[in-house]
Amino acid sequence: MSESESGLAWQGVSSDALCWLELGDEVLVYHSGSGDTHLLDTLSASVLRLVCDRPLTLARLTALLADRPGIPRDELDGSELAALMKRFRRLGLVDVVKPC
Amino acid sequence: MLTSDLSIGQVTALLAEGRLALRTGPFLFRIRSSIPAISRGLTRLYARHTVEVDPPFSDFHVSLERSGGVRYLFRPQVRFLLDEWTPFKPLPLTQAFAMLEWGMNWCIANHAHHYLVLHAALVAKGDRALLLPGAPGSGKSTLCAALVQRGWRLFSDELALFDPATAEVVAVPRAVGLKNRSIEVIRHFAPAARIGPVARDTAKGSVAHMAVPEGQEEGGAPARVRWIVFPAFTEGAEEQIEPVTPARTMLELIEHAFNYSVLGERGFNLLGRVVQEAEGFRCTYGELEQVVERMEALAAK
Repeated sequence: MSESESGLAWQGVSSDALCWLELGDEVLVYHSGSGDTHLLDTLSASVLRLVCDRPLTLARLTALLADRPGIPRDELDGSELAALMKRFRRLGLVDVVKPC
Repeated sequence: MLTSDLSIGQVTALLAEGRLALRTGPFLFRIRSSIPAISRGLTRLYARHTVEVDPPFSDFHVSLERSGGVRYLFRPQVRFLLDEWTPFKPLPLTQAFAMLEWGMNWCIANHAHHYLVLHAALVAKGDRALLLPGAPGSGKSTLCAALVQRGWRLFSDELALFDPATAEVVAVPRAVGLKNRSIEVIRHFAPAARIGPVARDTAKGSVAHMAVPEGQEEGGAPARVRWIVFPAFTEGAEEQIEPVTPARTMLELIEHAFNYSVLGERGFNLLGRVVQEAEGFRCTYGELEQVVERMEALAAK
């Protein structure tokens, strides 16, 4: 069963481990844990910021994003969000946890 | 004291005794060598650089020695030492001076972690600097040599040093390394350029070094990077320049950094500041004169 189907939540690394830099519609984030720097678009950056605040299921994440200005609803596709979280997980930026 | 204040005999004797130190930007290199090509190279290409005899402190103690054994007679080689350590395999003796240049670059890139060090050429107009990051073969050293011959101030053709406290770049004016066709290109572009002997069949092909133009040996005041141009030399290509976003510019700069991982968050914040203060471009070129004019136009804007 995949994380998206099991109702598990996604938790980002500690905010202290990330350093952000917004440059127009591109965002750079430095992860002190890996020493890597990642280039994100604004949607990906919003997602990462949200899951670094607290663990979120994909459903809850989608709802929170929908409330945010500047994020078109057609970009909030569940399967794309799930794929994004898996990419973040491979990069060591998020992990799967049981929802609170 | 300048190198030219000493006779070649004195330079040779002081180098053999390991008592001569060459100042280049913020670094003092104490050099020991009995190889004639080293004293000849220093007197020819570093004539107007500051040297010190028996300084109480040097940043790096380097030696160039002929390798021993049977090879000494049949295929003489040279080895480079930092203190007592040999970081590289020996090279043919004919490449001794090039090895000194490469070794000094290696010392700075691997040890000067109080700076963020990028693999890039760097020149300036007054206090506004043009950064030319590029992989070997991108044409950065050739372009750097050409710009310097047109009056730009030489910071380095290989290493850009950023002070994390100020985000300024500091100059390390050293002889500019030219490879293969670039040697003739620069001879033709600037007939007055002082270019040392050509070392052939090195790992990089034929290599020669162009002396720092007179008056620029001390490096001068730090500067701020205003333009970041990723050069890409392609034989016969039409000159083309296109903007690169600050975020992508920064990612590429990270790729060209020697010690970004050592500086960590400080390096991230520093480069963030740099890309926000500068304009980024990618420039393909096939004709040196054209791209030099383009860089002049960029600086004149």
